[in-house]
Amino acid sequence: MKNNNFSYTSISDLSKLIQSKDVSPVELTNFFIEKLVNEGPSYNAVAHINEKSAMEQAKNAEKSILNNEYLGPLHGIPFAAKDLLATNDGSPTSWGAKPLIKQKFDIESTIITNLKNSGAILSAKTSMVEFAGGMGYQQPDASAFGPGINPWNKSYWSGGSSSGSGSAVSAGLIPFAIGSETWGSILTPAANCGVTGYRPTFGIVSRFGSMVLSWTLDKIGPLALSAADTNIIAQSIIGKDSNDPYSVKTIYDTNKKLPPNLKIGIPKGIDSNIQNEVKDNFRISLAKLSEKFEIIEIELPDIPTSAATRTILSAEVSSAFEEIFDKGLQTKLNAKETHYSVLSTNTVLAKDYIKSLRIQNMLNEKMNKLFSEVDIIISPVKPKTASQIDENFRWATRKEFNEEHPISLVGAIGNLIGLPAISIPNGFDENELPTSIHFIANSHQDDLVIKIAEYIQATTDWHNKHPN
Amino acid sequence: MIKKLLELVKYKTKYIIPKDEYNSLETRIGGIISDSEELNNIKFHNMEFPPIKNHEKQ
Repeated sequence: MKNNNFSYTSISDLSKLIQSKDVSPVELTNFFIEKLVNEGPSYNAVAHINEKSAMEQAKNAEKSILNNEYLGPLHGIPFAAKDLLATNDGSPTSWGAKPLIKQKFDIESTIITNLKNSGAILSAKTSMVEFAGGMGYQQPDASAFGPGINPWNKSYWSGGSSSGSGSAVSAGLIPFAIGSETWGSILTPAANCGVTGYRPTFGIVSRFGSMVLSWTLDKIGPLALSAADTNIIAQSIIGKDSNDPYSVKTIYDTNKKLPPNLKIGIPKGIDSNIQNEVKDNFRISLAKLSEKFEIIEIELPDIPTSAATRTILSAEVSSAFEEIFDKGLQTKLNAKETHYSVLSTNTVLAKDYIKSLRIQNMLNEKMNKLFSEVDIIISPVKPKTASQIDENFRWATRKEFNEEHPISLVGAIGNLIGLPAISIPNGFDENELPTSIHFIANSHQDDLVIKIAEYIQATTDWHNKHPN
Repeated sequence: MIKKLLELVKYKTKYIIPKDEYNSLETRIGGIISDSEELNNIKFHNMEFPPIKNHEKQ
């Protein structure tokens, strides 16, 4: 079967074409590199492309496959990686930041090594918000590569900080891309761009070679076209890594069966005071799930989760970027509102940081108890769809408002204690922007969140709808 | 308190912070203080909830 347009083809369909030798990894990589080069700039999706390295990998993959040395479903599949993941192929790793636009490393991130060992082909580094948003940006044009453009409507933001990963997958420029999440940076672009975003349990995907925003909160994970594709990627990227002191073992069951008596928790008030289409589509998704599973209203723990998360993040930013701040390099970033205001992170009290870690421990205990009553929690990813390119927004980690919506609290909880989550599209609003929902489970239940998303996607079509 | 912390930031920073940046700095310092006050509402006994980090709880 010859198909010259590989955009939006699933990993498993691409892998069948490759395994049957109907398509060569070289042809496939050429196709996506052309897409990235020709169309990537219109979304500000691409940071760097090392075409020479990508084609070398593709030729090696082709040779192996012709020798029947097939590595598995990722063999010969092109992918992109967020520009905070170090590569040693001579390309820069700029962290989205103008002052570091030429920064290079002589190491390769473990997640990239793992994917390459599975035969996947690193084809590009995707653009991102400068320093993964850690400076406190409040508008989309906070990147050396320009604001991430939403493929569904170019007047709207792709979301961040994994902006380019979201745009590139949504626009059909690459089958999947790696992003990172400290607080929302995989799920938000996935939701805005209508793709599937997976945030793994803290520690199960190595962070070796990744820029640090927060040692306590950072997770690395993929944005892809579907939960089924995510399941394939997960098998490659999950694993203990002796190079990462925060790395932990887990058991990931690729053939996980959903328990027939699965209980889904819906936080009280989760869909109040949100955009109408987000609410309506959320309720439709819930109705679908309730046909098979029990839906139970739950109360989220009433402890200062967001304050604790902000405190940890601020304190760790001030340490992780100490060298940057000492040299004043942050004053050269795109987001002017962060140039000096980020120095406020130097005022976090040690006592508050430690209290926040204790709250993290307490939250673990409370959520373990909650997850003994339900298996999964469901929530819209955000109260509204993508914001406009020229619109300022409230940064989740700045406390300038007193009220906190339960959706924000779900995000804070999931990120503070590193719970696995997956975001999937579930409809559109009147501007044809995607709405999305996400599932969260207890730590090390990554297979469960991916499976529930697969279940929904097996009976709905939202993930198969694409811009243009 | 915000003004005092601003002075601390200015003291610790090796370069001059423009005066027109004080407002945004003070806003964020105010946020940090507000979070500190919120954290202060929760009290732990000495022996409760040691600061275990995420990967250590596995």
